[in-house]
Amino acid sequence: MWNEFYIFGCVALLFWLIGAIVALKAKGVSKQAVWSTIIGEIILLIFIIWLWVNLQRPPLKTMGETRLWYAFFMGIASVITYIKWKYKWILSFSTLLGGVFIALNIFKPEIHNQALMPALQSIWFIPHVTIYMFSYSIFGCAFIMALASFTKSSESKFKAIDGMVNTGIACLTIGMLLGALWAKEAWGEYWSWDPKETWAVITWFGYLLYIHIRLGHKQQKYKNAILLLIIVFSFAALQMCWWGVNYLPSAKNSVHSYIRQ
Amino acid sequence: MQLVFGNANVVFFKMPLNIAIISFWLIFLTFFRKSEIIKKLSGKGVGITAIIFIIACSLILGFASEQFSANFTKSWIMIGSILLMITSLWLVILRKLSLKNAGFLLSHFGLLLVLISALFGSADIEKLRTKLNKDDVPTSILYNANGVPTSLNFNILLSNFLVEYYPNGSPLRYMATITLSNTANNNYSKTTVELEVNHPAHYKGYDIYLISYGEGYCIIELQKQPWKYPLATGIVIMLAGAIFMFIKKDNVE
Repeated sequence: MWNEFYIFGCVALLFWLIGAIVALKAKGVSKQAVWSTIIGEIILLIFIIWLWVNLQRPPLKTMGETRLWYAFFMGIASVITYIKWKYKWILSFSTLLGGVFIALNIFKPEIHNQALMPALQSIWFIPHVTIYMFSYSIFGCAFIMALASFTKSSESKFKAIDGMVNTGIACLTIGMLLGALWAKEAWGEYWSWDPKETWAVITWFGYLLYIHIRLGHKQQKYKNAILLLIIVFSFAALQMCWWGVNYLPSAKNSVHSYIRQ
Repeated sequence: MQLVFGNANVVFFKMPLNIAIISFWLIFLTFFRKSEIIKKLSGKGVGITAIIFIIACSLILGFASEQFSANFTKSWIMIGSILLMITSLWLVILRKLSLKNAGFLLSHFGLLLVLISALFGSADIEKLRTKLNKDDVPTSILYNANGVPTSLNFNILLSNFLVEYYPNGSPLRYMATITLSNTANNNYSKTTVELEVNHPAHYKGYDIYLISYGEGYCIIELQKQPWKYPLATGIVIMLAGAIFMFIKKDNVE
């Protein structure tokens, strides 16, 4: 399956690229751009389903597999952003990021065997990871928007970031709480300050900080810069949570590290 | 305070003292919420301060060693930050008490319940472990985290331990069969439970977990956590709040 991935990946990327270029050239929201991106999404989804069926377990375990979901949800989040807030360049960025993830999976797939270890055999597994991946991709869009705002910030860009952070935090909260309920069943504790949990809580409170400072706040230059920095900080914490913790010395006994082959 | 008293001695705050303290504090805040000082505590600024404190504490935990982290979660700095957040949450809930803020109230009250149960409930957690060997005699002696033995009024026996493998040799499932026999007041009865990762068993108010395993033995943990019910309720309320806010945005100022 992974041997054929480059075909799916490249074709999906081609459709995203067409969508991104059409969106940049069009005035207003282009239907062709939306459809082209969606076709790319469907192609990636077909590969994910094919992988799922063949592995006989949900492909949510290895980094390569989660990157697949991230690329997929990134496309969905960016199409929603494009339609709702009409930012034509968002599709270019999501194509670029999606392209990086696909390229990583082609050149460094980190393929593992199909065995799903007992610790991951739980009904909580799929909702916990997919909803997290979805929120990660929304925050990816918010991060791009924040970077764009550093040079030229406007209230409309902040409105767009607000929308993404609100949606993202709802999903992040659900993902985290499902994880807590699962942890109680698996390890006997809802929360145990495992490194991954610690970084998850930093990410969570980071975005909550943004939301609370934004509430009823009026345009002030220095506050805007702080708000954008909080988005950048929270996104950095999110990266720590997702894969950065694997490189921390304190995480070598983490209950969240599943890949020891 | 940290320098004078060291870390918090959680055992001291066992039931019913923990309930008394938190009830007193919440009632106190409710009665005096109109006074100048408490009014100041209910502002958005205090909530933001509490968030920043918890982020700072978590950042320390995020980079520190395991040993340090284990101590730091019991430090007064950490507990103080959580108490500040509990205070701020309760006051803002009182201030915004209205049906039109349903999503806001659900998520904030859920978090409040989670924080209270986790912080004040930690003293009431009872955890006992033991290593069970196959073909051993039934035992009623288990050990707490400090290695102190405790005797239960029932016996535990590992009657079977099973490992199944995938065709490629990696483990598919571990399953321990445990026989529990009641020895209290001559009321002999026997129960057999199956323990698996992700599938704890329940017996006489204890949750039983399979912690570890090896050739011919397994380690189990028996747990009593009375505050798990309010904690789980808090999680469910927060979930409802998150879903509610996802679908319908409130306009809370």
